[in-house]
Amino acid sequence: MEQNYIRQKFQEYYQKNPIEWPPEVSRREFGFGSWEKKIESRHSRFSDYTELKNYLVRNTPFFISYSTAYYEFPDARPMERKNWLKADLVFDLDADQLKLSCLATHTKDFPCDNCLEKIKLEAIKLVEEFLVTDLGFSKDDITINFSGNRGYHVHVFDKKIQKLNADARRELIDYVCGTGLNFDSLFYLNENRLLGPKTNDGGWSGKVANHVINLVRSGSPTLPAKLRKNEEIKNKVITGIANGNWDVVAIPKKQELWKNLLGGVGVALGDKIDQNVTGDVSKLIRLANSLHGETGLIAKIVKDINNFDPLKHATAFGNQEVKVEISNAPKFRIGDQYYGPYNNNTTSLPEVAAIYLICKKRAKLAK
Amino acid sequence: MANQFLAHYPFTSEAKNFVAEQKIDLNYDLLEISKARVISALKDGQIPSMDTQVEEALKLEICSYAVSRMLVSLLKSKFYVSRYSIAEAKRASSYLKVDSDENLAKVTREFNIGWNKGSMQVSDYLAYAPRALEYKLINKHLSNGLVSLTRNEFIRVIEEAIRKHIESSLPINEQAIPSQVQALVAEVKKALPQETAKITIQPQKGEYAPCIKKLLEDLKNSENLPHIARWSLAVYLIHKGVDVDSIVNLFKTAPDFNEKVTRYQVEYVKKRGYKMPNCSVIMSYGLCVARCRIKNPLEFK
Ligand code: SF4
Ligand SMILES: [Zn+2]
Repeated sequence: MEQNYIRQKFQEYYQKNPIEWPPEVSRREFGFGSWEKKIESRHSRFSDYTELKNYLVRNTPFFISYSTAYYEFPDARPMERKNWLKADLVFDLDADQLKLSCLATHTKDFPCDNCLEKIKLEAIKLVEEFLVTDLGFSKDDITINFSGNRGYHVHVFDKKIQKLNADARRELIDYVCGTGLNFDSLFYLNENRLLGPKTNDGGWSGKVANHVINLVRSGSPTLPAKLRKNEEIKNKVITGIANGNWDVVAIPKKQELWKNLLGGVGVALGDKIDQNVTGDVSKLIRLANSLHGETGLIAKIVKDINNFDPLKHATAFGNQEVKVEISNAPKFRIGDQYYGPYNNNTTSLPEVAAIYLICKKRAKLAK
Repeated sequence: MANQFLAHYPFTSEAKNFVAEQKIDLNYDLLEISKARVISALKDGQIPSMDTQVEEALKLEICSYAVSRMLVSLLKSKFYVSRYSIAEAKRASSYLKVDSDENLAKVTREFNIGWNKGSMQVSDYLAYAPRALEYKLINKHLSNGLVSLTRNEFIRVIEEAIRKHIESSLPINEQAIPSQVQALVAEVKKALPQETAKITIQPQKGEYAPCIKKLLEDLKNSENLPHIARWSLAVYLIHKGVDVDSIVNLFKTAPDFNEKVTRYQVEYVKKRGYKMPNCSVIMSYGLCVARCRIKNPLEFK
């Protein structure tokens, strides 16, 4: 019964709204998910927009995703027979991977404001600091989509990188995550002085210098006490590092110390981006502006990321009251309104909140 | 002199055109030079450079590349194609190192790769950078899509482009190969070391981790493993108590095998007593093939 209700609601959405379609839609493999499974069938192909749109209205799957790769024969199988031509670069960011402490209070099914805000900052960092500043991609070639649940998909449609194989893509991921940074090549001794990264260096070298300066400036407790003692020492260290002179404060085994300190930089940026996904050149990714079957939210194309609030801007349904039996749910927000917590309640909720809970299998339609 | 450029970089389209316009005379000299070129590439992993200005000698040199490609194709071995391409690429790169910037630019244009004020496009870099720690993108200065490299680092990247270019153009169709060249194949084969029986090693008990098994499998199929993969494999096997000789033998099937260098490297790994990297690191190298739910490949039972 819930399934039928949701399908009908999703169907109305697809009837009323234009959907987005990826470049060269006929070269993409499509996959669909059911009430139980996010990807239940794959290897489908649509020759054009109308065919895709008709399918969504008629069959209304609970999830729809398409290949980041372009194939000569997207519907052939097994994979080798599709004949891989090229692929977009897609980064998949999920609040779950941030392992924030708030997770304990709300479980991963109900991302809180903090989770959603932190993952948004991660997406902004990825785009601004890495994709644009370092890698030189044009903002015109980058789109950010809300995942429909608790993260973002960052797409790069740049012709120059479409042909890169999985190995080369992994290099990009390692770059973004800080994996494989070679400290020996960052630091070197020159006449017994320890020289190293400068603030205006390109790439990770500059990031490391700036990171440590920030640590010193804020008196971070990860630094040895000596470096936090007084402003004079702090300033000396900061000017030193700005110029690549890492020898300014005498600390025994200092190179080791710096290394340990920086070890954290890589990891901190590290696990945060789903590594397995981006390197996979046959991955399926949610269709932009389609509905997510676990939330009823739209996998919305984000125009203004700084002001984007998924629980407000990615909702698809209205405020008509629906009576539901809720098994349990922590406190959550939709739009400006907070709901719950619930524990075996029967209550009337606006359609948008009711669908959110039903999709999460936390509520049923009340008789 | 134009011909010297062609002799040094016989894979360029300019050299190709030159050979096409020539009526190649498959005389004794040309056949012998070509044979020597192939044998030395396959046996020693390198092709000696030669420095002549004599027009006739240069011409022979250019044409010998074309004939060598035929010979290698006739050997019908992926391993030899790969080993030959590596040797040709190394030869070209040793010339590039001492050549003019102008000629360097001419060669790189062949691959549509630009080199400007010490930097290149990151997309080109990623397509051709060797898989080694010091060439990892993260260890390079990168800004606005441009990677900064020294001239020699850049040439190393170009060497990889040359290798891929040559390798992907081989083998050539047997039907198109003149009988005089076909007649040489037996001699070339005789000059090459007997194909070493494919070495297999087995753990004394239990099994090797899946990632390690995959690497051993790839080696057997003469895949050209990246440096980081070989290093990981050597570290793993040393921890498993395999002796240096057996490890060196394993690498014999690598297309760029060089016994002296390999032995030195394996012994070095042993001497330094490197720790086996954790699965998370192996994953970041792109070498993990399973999710074994262990922390370190050495824990695999
Ligand atoms: S999980 Fe570890 S041991 Fe298993 S294949 Fe991956 S890297 Fe190797
Ligand atoms: Zn949270």
